[in-house]
Amino acid sequence: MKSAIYTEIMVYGMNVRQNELRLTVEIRQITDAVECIFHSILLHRALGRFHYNTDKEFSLGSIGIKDVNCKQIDMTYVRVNSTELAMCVDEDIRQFKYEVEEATCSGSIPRRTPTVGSPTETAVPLLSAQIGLQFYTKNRRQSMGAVVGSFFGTGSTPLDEGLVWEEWKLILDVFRVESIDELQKMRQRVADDIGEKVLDVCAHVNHNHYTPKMPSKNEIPDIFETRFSDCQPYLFKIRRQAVPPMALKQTFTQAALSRWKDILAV
Amino acid sequence: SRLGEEIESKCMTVAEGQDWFNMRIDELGEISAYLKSNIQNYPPFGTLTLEFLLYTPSGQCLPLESWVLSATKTTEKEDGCPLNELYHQMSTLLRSAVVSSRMTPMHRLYVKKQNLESFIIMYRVFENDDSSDMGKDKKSRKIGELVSQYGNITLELHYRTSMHFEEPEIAPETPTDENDVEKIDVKTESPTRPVPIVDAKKPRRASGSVESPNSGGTSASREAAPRFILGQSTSSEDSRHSDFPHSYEEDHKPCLADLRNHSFPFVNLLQSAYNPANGTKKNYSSTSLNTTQKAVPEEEENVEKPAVEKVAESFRAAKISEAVLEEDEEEEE
Repeated sequence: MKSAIYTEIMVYGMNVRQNELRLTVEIRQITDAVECIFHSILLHRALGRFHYNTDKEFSLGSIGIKDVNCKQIDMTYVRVNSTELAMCVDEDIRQFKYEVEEATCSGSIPRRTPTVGSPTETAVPLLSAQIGLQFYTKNRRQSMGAVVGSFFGTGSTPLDEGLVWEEWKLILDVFRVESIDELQKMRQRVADDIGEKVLDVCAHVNHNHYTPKMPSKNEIPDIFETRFSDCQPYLFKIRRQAVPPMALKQTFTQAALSRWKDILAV
Repeated sequence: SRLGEEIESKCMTVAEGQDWFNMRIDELGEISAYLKSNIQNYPPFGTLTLEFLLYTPSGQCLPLESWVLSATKTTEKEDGCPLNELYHQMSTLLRSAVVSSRMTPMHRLYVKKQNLESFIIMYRVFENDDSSDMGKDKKSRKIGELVSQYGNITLELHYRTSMHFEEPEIAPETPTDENDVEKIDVKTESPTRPVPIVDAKKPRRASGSVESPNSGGTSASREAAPRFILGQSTSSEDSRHSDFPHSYEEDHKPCLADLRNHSFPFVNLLQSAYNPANGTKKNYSSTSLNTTQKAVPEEEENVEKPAVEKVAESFRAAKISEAVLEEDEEEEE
C-alpha cells in the first residue's frame, strides 16, 4: 500500500508540492502523532538565526536538537530544540485535539467518518480529521493580496499571507479503544506506521525540490519566520480541519466566476 | 542516538567552530578516533557502511540495520547546484539522518532497553556496501541523493523488520587468534574487510558497569566478546571535565584529538579502540595513534585488563550464582 501521496501542482505559475500522509490513531494519540510528524518536517525546514554582514552576505547560527519521548506512542522523535517554536506548533496541535474531541462528543457537528478498517477488534470509529503544515513565502508584488493556498482543494480558506510552496496534509482516522491491551497494541502499531511515514518524509524532502532562495537582508521576513530568538524556520502555517467546513468560503476568483455564470445564465 | 540516552543540544545564534552543516551535534571522541584509525582513506571517499548489530550474552549476533553512505566523483560535468546550495542540501540530508535514526524498529525496540544481561547494540564500519543480510522482511530506503558538479552523495538505509534469529547468522568478525591478528598489516589488509565490532552503548565511567569480580572464561568465549570502549566524550567542553586521569596529557601531544574535537583527555581511552580487545597490538594507520601507544608503559598494559575482557567477564558474571558473587565481595572487603 502506498503510504504517502506526493503531487506537484502549478498555482499561479508556481509549483506547490502537496504531500498527503494518512494515519490511523487512537484518539489519545493525536497529539503525539501530529507533533512527531510536524516536528520532523520542521527540523528539515528550519535554519539557525541569520547574521548579515552585508546586504547579501550572511552567516548562520546552528540548530540544536532534542529527543522527545511520546506519551501515548512507543517511540521517540527529534525536534528543533527551540521552546518558542515548540510552543507555537504545540498550541495549534492542542487546539486541533480539542476540536476533534469536541466533534466526537457532540452529536450535532457533522464529521467525516474513517474510511479505513478498525485497527483492533473492538475499536470504535470516531471521525476522520485533517491537519496541514504549509510553507509559504510572502509575495510583495502580488497586487490582489495573494489568493494562493487551497489547503488541498477541500474548500478551506486560502492562505492570505502569500504563496505556498510546500504543503503536508495529515489525514487522521481516529478511533477509540476501551481496553488497556488494545491501547498497548495501538501504541506499537502507530509507532510502526509513523516510523514508516517519517522515513517517507525524509526520502521526499531530500529530492532536489524547490525551496525559496536564500534571501537578502531585506527579504528575510518574506521567507523565514523571524519571531523566534533561537531559530528561523521557513514561514509556515498550520491549518486545522477537524470537521468539514460548514460553508464553502469562496475566493475572490471563485466568487467572480460564480457571478459571471449567473449573469450568463440570465 | 544508539547510546539510548536522550540527546539535547542548544540552538546557537552564532555557530561555533565545531558546528558543521548548521547543526549542533556533539561528537563522540572515541567514535571519531575509531573511524580515523580504522578507515583507510580518511575522510572516506567511496562507500562507507555503518552497521548496527544486536548482541546477546550468549554470543548471538543479529544485524539490525545498516547505513550506507556513498560519495562518488562525477565523471561528467553535471549541472549541479552551487557550493553553498550543496552545503545546504547536505545539512538537510544530515537532518534526515538524525530524524530517521529514531524511526527504525531498532530504535523503538532495542536502543533504550540495552543492558549487559539481555543485549547490547554494537556497531562496525567498513568501506564497502557489503552489509549483512537483514532477513527476509528487510526494508530499504534511499534517504537522500545529492547530485552536484563536485560529486554525488547518497545515503541509504537497510533495516530488519523480522526480529528473529535466523540460521546461519553472521558472527562478529573478531580476531580468532592473537598471533593471526598481529600479522595483519593495514597496508595489505583487504579493503573489504570490516573493522571489528564496537559497542554502541558505552558506560559513562570506566569503573562503571563493566566491573567484574571474576576473570574466568575461555579464549573461545573471548573471541565473541564485544569490544567496549570505556568512557564517553562529548564535546571539547565536556572533555575538560573528564573523570579520567590526565597523566598522559604531557606525553601525548594530541595530534588526533586536536584534529577531531579536542577531546584530548580521552586519548588514554582510545587505547581500547586501537588495541583490539584481546590485548593484541593491531597497528592501524594513524600516526597519532602510534604516538599514543608508545607513550603507554608496557607494564601498565599488562597490568590493566583490556576493556573488552572486562565486559566479556561481566557477561559471564551475570550467569554466576549469587553465592559466588557474595564470596568475591567478601574477599574484596
